[in-house]
Amino acid sequence: MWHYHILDSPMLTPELKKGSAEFLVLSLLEHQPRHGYDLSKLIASRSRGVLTFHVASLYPLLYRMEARGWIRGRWVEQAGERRRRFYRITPAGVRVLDAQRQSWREFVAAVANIAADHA
Amino acid sequence: MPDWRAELRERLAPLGLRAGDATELVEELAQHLEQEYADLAPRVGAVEAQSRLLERLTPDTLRDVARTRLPGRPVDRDPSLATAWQRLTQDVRYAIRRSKHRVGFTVVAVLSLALGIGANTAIFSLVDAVLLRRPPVPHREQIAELYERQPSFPYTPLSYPDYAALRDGSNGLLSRVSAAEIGAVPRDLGDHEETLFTELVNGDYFPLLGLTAQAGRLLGPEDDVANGAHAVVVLSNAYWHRAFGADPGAVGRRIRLSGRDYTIVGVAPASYEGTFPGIAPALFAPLRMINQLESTSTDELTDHDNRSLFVKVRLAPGVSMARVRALASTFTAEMQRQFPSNWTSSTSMIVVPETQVIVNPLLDTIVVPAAAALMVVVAMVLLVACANLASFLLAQARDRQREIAIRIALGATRWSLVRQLVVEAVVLAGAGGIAGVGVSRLALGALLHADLPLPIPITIDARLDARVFGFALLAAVAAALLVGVLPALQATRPNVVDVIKSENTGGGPARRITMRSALVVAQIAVSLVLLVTAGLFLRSLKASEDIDPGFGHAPAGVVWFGFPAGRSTGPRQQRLLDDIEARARRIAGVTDVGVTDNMLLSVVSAQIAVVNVAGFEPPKGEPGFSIDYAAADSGFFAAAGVRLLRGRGILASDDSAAARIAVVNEVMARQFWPGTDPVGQTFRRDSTTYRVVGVTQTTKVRSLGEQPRPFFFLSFAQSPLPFATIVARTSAGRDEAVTAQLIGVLHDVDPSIPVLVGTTMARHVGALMLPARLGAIAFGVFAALALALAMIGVYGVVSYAVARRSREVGIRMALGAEPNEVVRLLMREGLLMVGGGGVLGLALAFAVTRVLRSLLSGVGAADPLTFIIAPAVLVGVGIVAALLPALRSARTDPVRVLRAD
Repeated sequence: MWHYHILDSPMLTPELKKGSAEFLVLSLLEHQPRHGYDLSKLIASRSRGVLTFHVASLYPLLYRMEARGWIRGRWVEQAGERRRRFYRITPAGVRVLDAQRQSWREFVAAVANIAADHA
Repeated sequence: MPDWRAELRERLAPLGLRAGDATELVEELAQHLEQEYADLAPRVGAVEAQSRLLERLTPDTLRDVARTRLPGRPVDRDPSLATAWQRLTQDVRYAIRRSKHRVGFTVVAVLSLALGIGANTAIFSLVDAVLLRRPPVPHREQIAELYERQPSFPYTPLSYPDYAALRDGSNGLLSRVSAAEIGAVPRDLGDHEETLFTELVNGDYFPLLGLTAQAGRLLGPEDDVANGAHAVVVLSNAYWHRAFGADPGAVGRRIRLSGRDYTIVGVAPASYEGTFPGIAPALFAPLRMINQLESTSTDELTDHDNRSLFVKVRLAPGVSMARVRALASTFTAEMQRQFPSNWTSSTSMIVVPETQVIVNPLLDTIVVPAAAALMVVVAMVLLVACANLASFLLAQARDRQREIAIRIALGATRWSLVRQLVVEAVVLAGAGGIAGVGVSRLALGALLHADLPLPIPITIDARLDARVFGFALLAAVAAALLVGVLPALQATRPNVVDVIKSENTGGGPARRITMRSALVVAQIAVSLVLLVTAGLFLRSLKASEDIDPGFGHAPAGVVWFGFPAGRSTGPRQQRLLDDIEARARRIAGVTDVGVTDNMLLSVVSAQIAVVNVAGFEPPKGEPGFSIDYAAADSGFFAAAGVRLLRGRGILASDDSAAARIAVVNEVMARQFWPGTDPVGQTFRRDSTTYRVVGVTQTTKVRSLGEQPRPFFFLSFAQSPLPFATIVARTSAGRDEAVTAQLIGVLHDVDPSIPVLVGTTMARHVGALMLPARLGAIAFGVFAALALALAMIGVYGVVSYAVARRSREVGIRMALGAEPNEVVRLLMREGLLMVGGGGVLGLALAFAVTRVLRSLLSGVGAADPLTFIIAPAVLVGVGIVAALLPALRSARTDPVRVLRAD
C-alpha cells in the first residue's frame, strides 16, 4: 500500500516513467552500436516482457534521445547486406547514463529503507 | 510479405514531408517492420501478424515518429483547419481498418446500434407525422376549440344550429369562428365512382388558420353565403398530386361530385393536411353544400341532433381565454333555455386552448401517452445497446492499456488518444445510424402496409425528411458519445507505472470492473422495465380477447356504404336495398344478409336517443334517459349473430307504414321492466311511441371493456339513414372473398354507390383490440431485444471474469476444489448484477407503468402476475447467461492453465 503510494506520488513518477525507457536504451548501447529492431528485441527480453517497444513507440524515443545528443544514428553499409541505421551512445549519453544509474540506486535504496521501516 | 514501404509512404503522405526526409524515415521503419513480421508470422500466422503490425501504425503514432525525427518540419507546425481535417480523416480511416480487423465485434456493434437507432427513428417519424408536424398557423395561442360536454361523451362536436348561434352571439369577442365536418363524397369519374374524404368547411375556416393557397385561392366568406349556392372545391395537396399530377391548370376545371359539377378554385398548401392528422381529406368543400354533397334525408344545416361540427374560434385582439370561457357559459345557459331537449342541464360548453391540443382533446388522452411510452421504450433500447457496447469497449480498452500507457509515456497527448478512441465509436455509430435509417424504413414500411384492421383508412405521411434524418443523426451522435467517451477516458487515464508494472495483462484497480458492472446492472434494470411493460400489454391483449362481444362469432363480410342521391330515402331507398340484399344472398356461401345504420362496436359512429318510459323519472335535470341505439332490418340479427331471447325480431313488415317497434336488449329490459314481460311494453322518443316486440342478448356497444349497457334496435325501414352497413354471414375462410363480392354487388347495382369501408366481422371486432395487439407486439419485440442485449452484457462480464481469474481457478482446482464450487464462485458476480439490476428494475417498473394505465384494459398497472413472471424470466435467462462461461471455465484442465503462465 505504502509502496504503491510512493510510486504514484507526483514527485517521482514522471522522472521514472520517462527515465526507465531511456535508461534501458542507453545501457544497451553502452558497449556496442545497435539498430532499432535489435534494441526492441533486447528491451523485451531483458525486461522479461514487461516493457515492449514497437515501431510506433521505439522510434520517437530514439529520435528524441538523438535530438538531445545522447545517442547518434548513422546509416552503415556492411558487405553483402543492406545499409542500416545504427545507433551509438555519445559522450553526453554516457554522462546521462551514469547520472541515471546513480539516481536509480538512490531510489532503490530509499524504497528499501521505507520497506524496512514498515516491515 | 506486405510492402511496408508502400504502407508507410501512404500513411505518411498526409503529413506533407519533403521527399528526402520521408525516404530515410520510411526505410528505417520498413526494415524494422520487415524483421518483426518475419519473426511474428511463423508464430501467429501471416494474416494476424500483418494486421497486428498495421494496427500499430496509427496516424497519431506516425505523426509522433515524424515529429521527433524531423523537428521543425511541416508536420510540427501549428495545426491549421486543413491539417485538423487531415487528422480526422486519418483517424476515420484508421478506425475503419481497425473495425475490419475485428469483424465479430463490428458486426455485433453495428447491428445492435442499427436496431436501436432504427427503432428510435421509426417511432420518431411516426410521432413526427402524427403529433409534431404542425401547419404554420400564426398566433396559435389565440385559438381555442369548442366542444359540448355531455355525460356520455366528454368532447362532443357541435350541431350546425349551435355553431350558428355561437357565431352570431359572440359579441365581438371572437374574430373568427370556424366549423368543419368530415364527410365522404362520391366523385363521378365516368366509368366508376371514387369516394373522397372531404372536409366541409365554413367561410372562416382558412382565414382563421391564416393559410394561403399554393395555387388559385382557398375557401373564404364568399363561399359561405347561401345554402346550396357554392359549387366550388379546393383540392388538398396530396389529391392534387394524385389525381391531377400537380398540374396548375387543374384550377378552374370542374369535377362531378354527388351528381353535380363543382369548380376547382384552388389547392391547399402542402403543409396543411386537414383538421386531423391521419385522416387527410382529398377535398375542402363549402359547409353550405353539405345537403347537396351528402344527400341526406334531413337538412343537416337545421338539425340540432347531428353533432359533427368541429368548431374553432380565434379570439379578437385583447380578449383573454377567461372571457371566452365566460362567453361559453353564458351561451350554454341561453341554449339550455331555448332548446331544453338538446341542451340538458348536464350539458355544457367547454373551451380548450389550441396550444393544449395535439390531435384532438379526446384522442390526445390515448395517443399522447402511447407516443410517449413508445418514445421512452425505444430510447431505453438504444440506451441498453449503447451501455452494452460501452462495456465491451471498456474491456477492450483495459486490454489496450499497456499500449496506450507507453504511447502516453512517449509523449502522445491524451487528447489525441481520446480523439482516436472516440472517432472509432463515431465510425461504429455512423455505420449503425445509416443501417438504422434502413431498419426504420423497413419497419415503417411493414407497419404502414400491414393489413391492420383499422376502422377507417388512415394515411400517415411518415417520410424520411430532414427532421427525421436529423433525428437519426442526433441519435447516432448520442450513441457514439455514450459508447465512446467513457471507455476512452478510462483507457487513457495517465497511470502508466501501474500498467507497465502489472504482470497480468489488463490487471488493475477493481474500479473499472465496477464501472462495467454498473453498466450491465443498468441494462438489466431497463430490460426488466421493458419486460414488465410487454407483460402488461400481453395481459391486456389476452383480457380483450377473452371478452365476448355478444355478437359476430360467425365469419361475415361487412361493407359500409352510402345510398346515392335521389335514392337515400323512402320507397326508392327500400327498393334499392332489397335489390342489393337479394343479390348478396346469392353470393356462394352466404347464409344470412342484413343491414344496420350503426354497426355495433363501431369506433367512428355512435347513435344515442333520449327516451322516456312511463313510471320512470329521468336523471335529475335530464329530459329523458340517454340510450344507444341502432336501426336494423329483418336479416341483421341472423347475419351478425345477435341472439334473440324473447318475442320476435324485426320483420320486413315493420315498414314505414306500420306501427313503430323496437327490440331491446336484456339490460334495458331489466332496467325498465323488471319482473314483467317487456314484450308489449312501450317507450317514447320525442313524440314517437315505440312498442317493444322482442329482447336480445346484451352485446358490447361502444367498447369491449365497457359495463353492460342498455341498447335497442329500431326497424331500418322506419328510421332510414343515407348510410348503412351490410353484413353477409358466411362460412369460415370465405369472409374476405364475400366482402369483395359484396363490393362487387354494390357496384353492379349502381356504380354511383359510394363504398366507404369494406371489412370482415373478424377485422371489425379486431379493430378494438388493435391498440392492445400493437402494444403487445411492439413492447414485446423491444423487450426481447433489450433482454438479449443485457444478457450479452452479463455473459461478457462473466466471461471476462473467467479469463481474468483462470489462474486462480486453476490453483483452486489443483488444490481440490469441486467444479461446482468454482462455477458458483465465477457466477457470483454475474448473479449479483442480475439481482441488483432486477431490484432496481422492479422499482423503476412500478413507477413507469403508472403512466401506461390509460393504455391498458382489463389489467391493472401493478398486475401481480406480470410483476412475478417478468422478474422470473429475467433471473432465469440471467442464470443461463452467467452459467455458460462459468461452466466452460470449470471444465478446463488446471495443469494446462498453470503451465500457460
